[in-house]
Amino acid sequence: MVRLKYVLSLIVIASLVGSCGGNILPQETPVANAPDGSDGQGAEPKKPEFNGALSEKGNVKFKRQAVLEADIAATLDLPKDSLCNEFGQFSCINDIHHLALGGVDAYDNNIYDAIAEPIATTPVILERIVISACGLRAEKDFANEGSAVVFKGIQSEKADPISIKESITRLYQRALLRNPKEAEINQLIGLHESLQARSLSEPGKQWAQLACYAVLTSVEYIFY
Amino acid sequence: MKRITRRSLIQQAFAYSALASCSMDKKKKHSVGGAPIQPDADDGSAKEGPNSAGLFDPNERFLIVLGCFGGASINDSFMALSESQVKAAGGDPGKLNCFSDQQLVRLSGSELTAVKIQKDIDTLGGYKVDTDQSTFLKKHVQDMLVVTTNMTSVNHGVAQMRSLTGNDAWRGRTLQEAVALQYGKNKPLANINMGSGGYSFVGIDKELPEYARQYTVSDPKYWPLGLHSSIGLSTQIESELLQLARDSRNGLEEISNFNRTFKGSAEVVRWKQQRLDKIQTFEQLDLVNRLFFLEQNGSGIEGAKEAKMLRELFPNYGIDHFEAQAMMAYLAITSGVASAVTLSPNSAALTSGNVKDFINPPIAFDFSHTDHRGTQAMMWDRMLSVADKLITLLKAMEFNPLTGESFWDRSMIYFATEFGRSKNKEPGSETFASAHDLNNGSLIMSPFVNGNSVLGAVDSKSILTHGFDLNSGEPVKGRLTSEKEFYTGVLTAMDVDLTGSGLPTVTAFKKS
Repeated sequence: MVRLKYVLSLIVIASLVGSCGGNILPQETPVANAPDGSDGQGAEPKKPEFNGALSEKGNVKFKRQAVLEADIAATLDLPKDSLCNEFGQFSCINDIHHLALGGVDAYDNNIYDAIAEPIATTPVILERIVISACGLRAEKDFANEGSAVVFKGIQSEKADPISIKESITRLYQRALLRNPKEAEINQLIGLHESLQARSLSEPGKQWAQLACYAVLTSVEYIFY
Repeated sequence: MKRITRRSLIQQAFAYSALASCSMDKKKKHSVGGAPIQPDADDGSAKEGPNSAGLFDPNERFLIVLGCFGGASINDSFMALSESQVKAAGGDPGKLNCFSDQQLVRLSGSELTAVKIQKDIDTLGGYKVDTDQSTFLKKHVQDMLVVTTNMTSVNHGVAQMRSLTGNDAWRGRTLQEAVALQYGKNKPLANINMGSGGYSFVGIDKELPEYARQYTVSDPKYWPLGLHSSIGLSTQIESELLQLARDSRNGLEEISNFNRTFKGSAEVVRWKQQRLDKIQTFEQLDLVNRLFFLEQNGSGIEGAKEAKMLRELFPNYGIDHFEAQAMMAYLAITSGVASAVTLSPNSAALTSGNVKDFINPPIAFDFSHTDHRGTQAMMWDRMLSVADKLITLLKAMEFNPLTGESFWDRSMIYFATEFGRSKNKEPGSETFASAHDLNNGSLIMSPFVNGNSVLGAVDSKSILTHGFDLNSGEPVKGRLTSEKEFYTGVLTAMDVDLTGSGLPTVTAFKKS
């Protein structure tokens, strides 16, 4: 009896380990076969409206330097050292703006304590990093559609709505580890339409950068 | 107040060039001739005249803290004693840190002294010290006040911090925070701190308004880039499109369950407020171009109008943070960005490339543990050189066209230091080591203080300093100046409102 329990335990553990796969990102769900009962285009199924139960403690943390760097790199599948470099040389995150992102500067300036909370310059520095990283992701995805990571099928001038929704879904899955709501999809489609209405040279790529920016600078992404 | 014009100020200031004052600079032959600042430019640029941008209040004041990292001894500068003085008082000049008559310079009508040192520092590869503080003293004596102090810690970090907070004299606010609180309400970044170690300390007053809190800066050369969301990056987004994306982001947040759940969190509320207030403010005021001083052709960054002049005046800015900090301090004050700026050398050894040409000895003033006299002379020279250049620059920039006041007329430089050094020396030797000593004094420079004077005195027999009556300024033997009293004296001279602070009355610093 004991032996049987032991074998069963091993099977359970093995199955759990196997399901993790060592990938920190959720396995990309083929949008057309979404297992959550959604419409297959990334939107979550209709559920009762969230009534916004406000957290009494409101205990959230700002993603500091190292976490932020790792998360943006993983979200956009970019090497950490490519995310944002001032004049193409000095890392925004580790060399130039690290103190405002909650880093320390022990060797150069004897600063051993990180800031307790974001300072006035932190939001604009975060925007700077995200604009750089999103720009790079959009460049890569538009340069080679076959190996695109987030923005696929929208490279042509007249991108079809399904490809746009799929791109939004991939962006949400990679950034926030969930599917977007219908309203969130509509918000970003609205942005796409706004850009289409302007005479931009590459509206699709511009939208990709801006949609990426909108999600990666949202409080849901930068707090945990 | 005499009537002065910017042009006359510049001509005078640069005629008596900053470079004349410090021996280390003389050797480097900086080129700052001509008219590096163009304040009379006809293009009407708002950057040049901050008053025209409406950023200045005619009553405001500026505090510059120079952190003398490692322990600057007042016995090796403006309160130095000669061997003959010590001997006459019954002390042993062979065992106390005093100087030969040839090494001291005194000005008639002044209690302040200056030290001239020529020696090699063997432990720095034979680095040749050749310094003379008298040029600085002669040039600035009317704005120099030396105040005796007695600190409460010989731990570097703790004492550095207490030199700024007066040992938590006023709710744990630093001097810079108190000044920013008084004068920085309309500044985009009222309190910029580029200092090292304890000089970068953030005060602990939780009720301090957001605008007076410090912004810690590690590298002043590139830091201004962080005041714009994309300038200089390979990815550029038109501001109109960026605003569309920001609106979309805000819309997404309204929908997000996470945001709905945590929108009451103090962290999230604060973040959104910072995001709303600061990003557009920074970009609308074009802070990156007001503060950026590097030469970057083709980056899309125009940079500060005075950048070229500053690069020439501080030629080591590329490798020496302290010089780069001074450039930033000048730009931050004169462009209406800050009310308080902090700078300091750090503890890293720095050479100009030649291993024998030290710019900063290891552990800065604290290298006195190895060679006291050479290190103190070298580091004082380094501090005075930067101070002299800053004062010269600030004198050359008009603050108020109605009164003719320059920026220097509204400024104070506080040479903060953690503590003094032990008073003994190796008999008969110019090369000796020193330890930390609570007893010391600090230099304050400003048109707001009683210049050309010393508060307190130094006992010629022991070379220990003692205090003074806090209001009359008369020396009082047996009295020691506390950190709290010093802190109060500085803020009183800066006309900071101390109502309800519980601080003592200290009027002796303030110009009578």
